[in-house]
This record gives sequence, structure tokens and C-alpha cells, in this order.
Amino acid sequence: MSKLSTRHLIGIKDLTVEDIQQIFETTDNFKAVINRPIKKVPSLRDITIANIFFENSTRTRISFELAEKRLSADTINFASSSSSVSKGETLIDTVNNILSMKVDMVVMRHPSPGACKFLAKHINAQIVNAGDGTHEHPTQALLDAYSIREKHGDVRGKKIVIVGDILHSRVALSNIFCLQKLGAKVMVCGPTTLIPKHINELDVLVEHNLRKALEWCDVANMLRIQLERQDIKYFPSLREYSMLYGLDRAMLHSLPKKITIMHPGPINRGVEITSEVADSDQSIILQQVENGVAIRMAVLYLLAAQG
Amino acid sequence: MKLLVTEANIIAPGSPYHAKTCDLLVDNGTITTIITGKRLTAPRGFKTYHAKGKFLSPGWVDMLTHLPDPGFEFKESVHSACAVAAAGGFTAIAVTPETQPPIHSKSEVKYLLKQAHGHAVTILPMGAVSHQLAGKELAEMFDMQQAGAVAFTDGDKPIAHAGVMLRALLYARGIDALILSRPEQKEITGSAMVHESKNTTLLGLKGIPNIAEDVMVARDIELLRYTGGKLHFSKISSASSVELIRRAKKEKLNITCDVSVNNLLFTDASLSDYDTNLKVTPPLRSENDRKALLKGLKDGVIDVIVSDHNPQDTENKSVEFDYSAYGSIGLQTVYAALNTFLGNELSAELLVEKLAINPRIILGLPQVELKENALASFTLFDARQKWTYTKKNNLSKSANSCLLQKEFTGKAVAIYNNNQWIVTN
Repeated sequence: MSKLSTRHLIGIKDLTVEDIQQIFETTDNFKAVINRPIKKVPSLRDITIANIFFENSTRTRISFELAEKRLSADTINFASSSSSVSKGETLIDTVNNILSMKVDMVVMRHPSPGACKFLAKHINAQIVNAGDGTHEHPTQALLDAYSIREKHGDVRGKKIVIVGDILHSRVALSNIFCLQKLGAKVMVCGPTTLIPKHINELDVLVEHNLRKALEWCDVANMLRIQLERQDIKYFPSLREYSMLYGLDRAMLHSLPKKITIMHPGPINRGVEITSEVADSDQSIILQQVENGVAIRMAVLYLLAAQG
Repeated sequence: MKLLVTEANIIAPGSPYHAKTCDLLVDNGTITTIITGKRLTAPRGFKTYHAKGKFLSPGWVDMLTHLPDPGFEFKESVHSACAVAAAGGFTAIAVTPETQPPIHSKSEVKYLLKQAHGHAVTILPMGAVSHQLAGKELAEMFDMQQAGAVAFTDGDKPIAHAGVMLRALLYARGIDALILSRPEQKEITGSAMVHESKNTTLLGLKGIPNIAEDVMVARDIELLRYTGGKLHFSKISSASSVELIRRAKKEKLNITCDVSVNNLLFTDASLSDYDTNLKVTPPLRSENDRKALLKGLKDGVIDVIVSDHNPQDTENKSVEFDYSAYGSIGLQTVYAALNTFLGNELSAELLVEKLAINPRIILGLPQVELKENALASFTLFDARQKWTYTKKNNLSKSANSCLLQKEFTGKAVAIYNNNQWIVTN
């Protein structure tokens, strides 16, 4: 088995196309595993993984924990919705304390961009980024791309639009990096105030009209509005946001082709998509969740092989 | 202090000794002899310094040092700041009022001058424009001026309220005081901490666009047009504000400005590692902006280079980028870094103009003259000396510099000021 080119998974930015392909191939195997009656493999026995979450998370944390358990790793969980700083302890101290208990890998979510990179510079354990502020969320991007590959056969040449709050989204940035590496065309769509001014310099198309964006794409990834990350008002109201960027069944059915609908969750039903759209046969939202476990198993397994 | 300096290459634009090799005899704080074409021998009791191959210029003045004494002496005290300044070749440093309590009344000004007494480096206190640096009510500028404040600024805090700025400029004109404006419209900045660009988008960081600076530069130029008097922009960083100031100067408005050494050395591309030592105010901008700042320096739009020395302890820096304090130390390395990285662009003569001549003009200090019977205040520097900046030779109480472990070509080697002679090892 060839190794990944990186010791940590901090961002998609650091991965090569071969790394991504290898993660996908490993995911194929693990997906078969988790659909068997006995879902557990002994691959990471004797490896201890700390899931350290400085920001609220339900699905990502559960998905990682499940992936770790299916690989027979020992896991510990540390969650703090407030930052370490507000408690008077620094991030390095918090993590070093946990590492003193002989932990091999750290899965961390943190509200500050660059926090995982910062940690990787200061501690010895391997780091998996489970989301660092508005920077990257690499496993989400991998599972999104994997889900597109599963549904459409290949990512290359596909047109994918990411809709919503691009400015505050780590999912958008990681998705852009991952999809572009795999040869897809990427567009972002959202209110002018929520699209970073320089995003077009990343070879990304920018569209502010939802209908035009949906008519262009094969896959629409509908992001959640991150109200908790908005320090000031970027649009007048959720109601008006929904009027401009909410996807309902009427619009979905009026499109010239059947597009695939994705959402990283949790969904604000009735804001970015209506329930009918979320639950329609064009939606692969639940497949994304399933693939999330398999992708995280693959990532942890491949990184552990690096040691 | 009795001193003989031999064979120094004089850099003193405007002086008859400029670009000549001279010997100087200094006694008790005064130049007693300066001579070219002949060698002097040291009279009994005089120390001799052989300056062959080194430059000697009027003493350098830093127009922007954040000296957190009183309040945060563990980051830098008056005593340590004077040592850092001397090692950086500065004979005087103008310090900002961001202390605890702020320098916003006569007492704090007097405290600083008292602490600085007896040091080789002269401390030039800058008082607050507004009481408590709150940007609301004017501080007692006249009283502080009488006590020794050389200018007025709210430090890194922009004066957001146009009415307060208008009244500050108007009032300052009446007492012939200088107001410094650090232009940044914070309502545009929001929670952003770095320049807005492709580079910072890739890092997932929200950006501060140039326009946040430009609108306040434009505002203050128009305010000054109305109030009269004089205005100095502190740490401009964008290409467009260089242009705004260029136009204002053409219109003969009494406006000057400075640039931080950080914005000359680094750009937003330097942030790729989230190095908190590069989290500075104003943010490191694009290469295009950096080039415009260099051009502005050369063609005279930008008058002064400042160190923006801002000591922070490790607890404020060895943390996540979001939580890190702003600022970088730099007083000790201004010349070394500029000569190493921009030596081809900025001549020694230009640097002396930006570091010694212009700050004195702008702050209304008497010019230092290199002539007999003049007060001795000079800096010796060597453009060829190689050295490495390390935690050991860093004299600041703080170590927040991304230049540590860098090898430099060029060093400030000694200062003579306040009748004291300090040679840097």
C-alpha cells in the first residue's frame, strides 16, 4: 500500500490527487465493511484517538467516533463549546494534557482558522482537522466528492455549484480545493455580501442568481447559513435569504435536467432547502452521511499507517 | 563622555561634510572638532572608535514605538526599550499612549520623562488625542504639550468619529500641535484581521480591504482642508492611500505620513503559516501595495519609516491566530532588515532622511548638525556587517519577531546621545 504524502490531514490544500484517489479506494473497501453484519475491523487496535471539539458539533463528532470504533481504536472525547482561551488554558496546554495520557492521534474542531496547523507545529501527535473556523473541513470535502463520484461515476468534468454563505464556510473552501483537484468545474452562488471578493481568483465561477446557477450545474451543494459565525448582518433576514436562495420543489422541477442535491447538514429546513427537496430522490444527503463514516475510516487508517 | 571617532563616512544630507570621510572629537556631549582629509589623534582621556568603512549620520528617531510602560512593563519597560533602541541605532523614540493608564494627561507624560532620565536614548512621549483613548472627548493636549508631549495620537486606535477628529485638528492648530491619524474605518474591517486578497481567502481568513484605510485617509484630508493646521498619517499601507496623500501634498496641504517597516518587508503572502508575529496593524498587504509604498518612499510622498515596535509576551502570541494580539517587535532590526532585504532599493542616504531628518522636521525637533560646537547625537552603522538576530542578542523583553534566527547584512553599531556612547556588541 502506498502512503499518503502527508502526516496530518489539515487541509485538502496539502493533498495530492493521488492521495485523494487512494483515500477513495480505501473508502470503497470500508464502505463494504460497514455494510456487513459485522461492521468492525481490527485495523487500529492499540491506537488511541482523542476527539477534541472546541466548537459544537453533533454529526461530525459522531461520524468520527463511529469511524474510530469501527476500526477498533480506543477513543476519548473532549468537548468544550467555549474556546480554551476563555477558560484560561491555552490550546497547547489543553492538548498536551490529553497527549500526556499517551494519545496517538488528535481529531480537532476549532473555531479559529489555522488552529490545526498551529497545533501540528507544537505537538507530536498526528492531527486530523475536523473543521478550523472558516478555513477547511477536509473530511467533509472528501465525503462530498466521494458521494458525487458514487452518484455520477466520476467527478472530472462535472459542474458543481456551492450555494449559500461562502464567506463563513470551511466546507466551501475545502470543496473548491477538492473538486478542482479532481477536475470538476466549480461555481459559487450566494448574496454578494457572502461571497469573498477574491474567490474568482481561485478559478471559481461566481453567480448571484440561483436559477441560473442551478440551470448550469450537475450537482448543487446547498450550504447552511452560518448565523453563529456572522458577526454582523450580511443580509436583511432569513426570510429574504430564502426568497432569493432557497430551493423548493417548484424550482427543482422547472430545471432543464435532473440535478443532484447535496447538503453538509444540519439542514435549516425551509431556509436553504425545503423538506420536499431534502427528502426527494434527487437528494443524496443521507448517502453523504453514510459515506462520511467510511471516508473518516479511510483517512484515519491511512494516516495511522504513516505513524 | 570623551570620544574620538575616526574615518567615519558621513551621511548627513545638507551638511558640508556629507559623503566625506571625517574624524570627530566629542567631549561632554558636544562635537568639539570635525575634520576631513586629516586624521586626528585622541587626546589623553579620550576613547577611540575606528569607524573605517562605517557610516555616521545624525541620530535616528523612531516615530512609532509602542512602549507598554506603565502597565505592561513585563513586555517592555522604559529601561529595556532604551537598550533596544540604542542597539537599533535610535537616539530617540516617540512612544504611543497605549499604556495602562494611557498617556492622556500631564502625569503620565511626566512619569515617562522621569523614567527615561539618565538614559542614552531620549524618550519622546506622544499624548492621547482622546481621553482614555476612547475617541470621544479630547484629552488635555496643551497641558501634555507643556509637560513634554511631542505629538498626539490614539496609537493603533483610529479616531472613528469625524467630529472628534475635526475638533482635534482644529484645537491642535490653535496650540501648534501635531495630530497623528492611524487610518482605518473599523466598521468596514469588522472582525477581519488580515488583508483581503486571494492569499488570505485561501487561508479562510476574512479580509480588510484597502478601502477601509482609504476612506479614512480621504476623510482626514478633507477635514484638514477645513480645519487648517497639520496632520500626520501613521502607518499607511495601501497603494491608493499613497496616491491620496500624493495629491494632497500637491495641493500644499500640510500633510505628512509614515510607513511601518513591516509593510515594506512583508506581504499577505508571508501569512501562509499563520505566523502570529505577522499579525500586525495595518495588515500586511499585497505585493502591489508594497511596491507602491517603496515608490512613495523614494519619490517623497512617504516621509518616514517607523519601527512599529510592539512587544507582546508569548501568552499573547503563542496562541491561535484569531486570539493572538497584534504587533511585532522591530526597533532593534529596522536598519538590519531594511539593508538586508531592501538594500538595493533604499540607499543609506534615503534611510537617513526617513529615519533621522524627516522625523525631526515633522515632530518639530531641532535638527542635529554635524559641526563644531553642535550637540552630539549621532548613529554609526555598518552596511556590510553580517550577524544573526537571536533570542540571546535580542534586547527586548519580548520575542515576537519573525526575524529571529535570520542572518542580516548590516547593523547599527553605536550611538552617541545625551553625552553617552553605546556600542552594540
